[in-house]
Amino acid sequence: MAQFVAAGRGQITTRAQEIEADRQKKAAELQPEELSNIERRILQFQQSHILDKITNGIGGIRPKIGGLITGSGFTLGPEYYRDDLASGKLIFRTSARFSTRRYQLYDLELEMPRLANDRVFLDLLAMHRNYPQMDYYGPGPHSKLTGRSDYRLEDTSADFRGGVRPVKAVRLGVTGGYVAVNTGDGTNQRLASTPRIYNASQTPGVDRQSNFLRGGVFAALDTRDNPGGPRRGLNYSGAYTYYRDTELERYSFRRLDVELQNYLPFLNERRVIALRAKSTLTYANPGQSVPFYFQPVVGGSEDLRGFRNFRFYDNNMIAMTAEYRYEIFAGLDMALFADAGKVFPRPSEWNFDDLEASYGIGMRFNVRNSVFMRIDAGFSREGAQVWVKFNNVF
Amino acid sequence: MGKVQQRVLTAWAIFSLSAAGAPRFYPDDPLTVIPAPQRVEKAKKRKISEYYDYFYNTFGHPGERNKNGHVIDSREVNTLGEAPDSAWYTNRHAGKRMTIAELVRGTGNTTPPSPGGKWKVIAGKSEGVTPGLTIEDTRGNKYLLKFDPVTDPELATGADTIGAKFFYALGYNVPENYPITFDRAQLVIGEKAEFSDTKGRKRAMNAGDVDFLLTRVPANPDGSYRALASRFISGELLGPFRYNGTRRDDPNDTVPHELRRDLRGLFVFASWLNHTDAKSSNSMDALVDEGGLRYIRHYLIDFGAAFGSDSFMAKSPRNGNVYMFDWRTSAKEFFTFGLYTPKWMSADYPHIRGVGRLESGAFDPEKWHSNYENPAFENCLPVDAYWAAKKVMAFRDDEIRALVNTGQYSEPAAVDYLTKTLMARRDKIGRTWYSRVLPLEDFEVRENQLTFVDLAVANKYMPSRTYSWQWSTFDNATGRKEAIPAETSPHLPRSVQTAADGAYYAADIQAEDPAKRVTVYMRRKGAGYQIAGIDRTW
Repeated sequence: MAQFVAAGRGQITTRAQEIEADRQKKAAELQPEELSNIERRILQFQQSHILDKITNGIGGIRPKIGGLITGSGFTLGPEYYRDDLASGKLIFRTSARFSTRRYQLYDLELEMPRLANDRVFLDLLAMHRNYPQMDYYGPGPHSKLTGRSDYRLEDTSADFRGGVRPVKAVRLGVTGGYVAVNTGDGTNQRLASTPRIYNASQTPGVDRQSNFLRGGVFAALDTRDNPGGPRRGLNYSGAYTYYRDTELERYSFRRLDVELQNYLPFLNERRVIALRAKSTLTYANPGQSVPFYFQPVVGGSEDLRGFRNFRFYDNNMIAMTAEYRYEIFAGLDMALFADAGKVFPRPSEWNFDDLEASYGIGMRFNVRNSVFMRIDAGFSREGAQVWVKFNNVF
Repeated sequence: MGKVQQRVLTAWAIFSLSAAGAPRFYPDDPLTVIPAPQRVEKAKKRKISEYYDYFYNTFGHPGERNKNGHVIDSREVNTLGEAPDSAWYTNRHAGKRMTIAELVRGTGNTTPPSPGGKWKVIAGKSEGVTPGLTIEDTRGNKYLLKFDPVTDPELATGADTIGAKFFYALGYNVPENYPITFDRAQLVIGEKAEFSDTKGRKRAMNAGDVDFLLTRVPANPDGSYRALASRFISGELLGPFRYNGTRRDDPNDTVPHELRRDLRGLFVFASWLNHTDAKSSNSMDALVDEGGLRYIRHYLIDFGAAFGSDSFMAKSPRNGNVYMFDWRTSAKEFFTFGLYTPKWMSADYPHIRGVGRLESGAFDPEKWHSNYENPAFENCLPVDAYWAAKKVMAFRDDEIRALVNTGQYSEPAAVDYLTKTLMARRDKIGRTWYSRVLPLEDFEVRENQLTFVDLAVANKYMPSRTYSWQWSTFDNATGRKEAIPAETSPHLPRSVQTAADGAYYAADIQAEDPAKRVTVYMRRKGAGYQIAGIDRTW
């Protein structure tokens, strides 16, 4: 070999010698295999698991971003989260969250989603909320934009939710709990306070609040392929809940919630028609009424997206949405949507007359097919609204 | 794949850039085996960043690339246009037919984790999209256990198993992969076992961690688990290779990877098997010691995202058809509100356990895409693809079925569908790439006549055709070719028949397309002739 090198390239007489000459040349210039500075720093960043520590936390403690009601502003707070207890069968979570608009939420949850070989589930949740700037435009479908006010909603609740999963797609269960509610003046200086401009005859419960025992049953059928960003299947759910006013005995009522979602894919699921219809009907006990803070609402980022948050309150509501979703690339879908809905005072008025409508376009960003952020622009007779949300609409 | 529109005469098919004045052919051409590698005393272990790799390849376009008007021929190719055996590649099935037993054996099929006795868990991870365990069996062999997604049993483990078999037969170095079934009771925790939890934190592992991890993988009705046991590659693992440039600490790695025929041609193999995740992090360099010689061997690993699988779920129909992010396609879809619908969106996929999304109807061998840019794939020229297509076409129907069977699918329909789909994709590859060059092979002199097989005709892609010939003298020292007048038939000219030992002649052959020409270089050797080299234009 040394002889060959000494002879130099000019005396190469075989292909093997030519290859060997290239190797000798390279051997004389060997350097350690290194990453570029930028790649090394990216790799160090990855290996430091900083993002994991932010999203998953250290010692179970992690920052919790968002999760409060729409309109609360940017929300942040500490959360203690463990999903590795009892071999993954027990999830414990507790958090305190604060928003830029001084909304507060404290909660504690114990979840057992996979008991009895995935046949039984149980969820215990205790929560205290203090939302100081809840919008209220007055009762009914004809409320005016100029009637905007705000109020403080403060409640403390403890609930359980348990049931069975007879087959994978079906959940049947019961709920029960207790909730103590308080409302008061809102803190938005630009708005009138709800208790000061609406009276109890218009807005039941605005004068005095009460405490409630609540319980009911629910059923759900869920065949969606991927709940984080469904492209096919359906998700039907219904719940019937009785609220018993244990203090004032003026606001006992029953509430029926039904929601139907259908996902109709075509072109190999790169295009999806997503349909949703939901309705809430309430039935007050004789001589009693449904307090406004438990009334269903339409308008905002989840339905009627061309209207402001909490735009319409009443005892009952119906809302429908159709979206045409089309994939742009692996991490982004676009959506053209149309919303319709209304609130109404009596269940007997359940019909499709006089629906409010909005339409718009949205962007859905996803990671591994789960939507983590959406931007929706909605348009209606009341103008345009832009929503930036860290969830999927449905 | 990079589109080089301009038809360019191939340069010499050489291993490296020959020095000025070097002859076209050396006496040892065509070389079928690369000389034994130089000893590598040490090499640095290093990981790479997957994020960096994605962005660098997507937006940085690294390596030396073909451009319009500037074609860079493949290197580490012998004068016949074949990739010789090396630390990267070994001519296997297409070179010397393997028996079905050899195909099924692959890189090895006799050392799955020992069925009896306990397996010691030495590491586990629950982070990432799919959990994994590292075990040591009773013989001390180490394996990585990989699992299927809960939603798609048999999907990733099947793909990883048969992917390794195919890529081994195609010529690459791969790990031994075994689909296995085991009971929880077989696993015991090693004394120094380490667990990487859902948050990426490392700590001592306990039995509860195994239980937790197994809640995230599909269980069989009898409570057992199916997994893919990938035996650790022997030698010192150095980390992935890149598809551009060379390793700076390996004296034997002299050819930029984006120029290697065996990596450019991998584009065709990956398209056949829908190995969309053919990226650096699914490769491995290992410093091996064979008979006292230490050198770096290059492996392809992790085929869990091949065929219809995307490892953690069934493939998106987009996979294999466009990059994960592609400006042009995205813009069309955005501005047409989704009315732009390429053919692949309408492809038919069956719903068969373990198959995921793999099809042949919309498959276009020229338009196939890996998940993101791969410098070697971008450089794949028609001659590179033709080289690879011959390897693909070497697989008979029964051989494909035998390899698919190694995936141990519970539904016979899965084996049937995968086999038929791979057959159809194989045929498309042959039909496509055999039309991009003049596919003449198996040259030999019989009764003073130069004969060959036209692969397009032999495969019935076209009826028999006529060829035009021109014989020339060839000066090996200068590379000058001089036509011999009136010698335009397959018959060897008289001057060739009476030539002295070591004299060179060339025959230019073309069919209906004058741009597609094959030049065969012959060397007089004793009383016979040797095919010294083949050039192709397209």
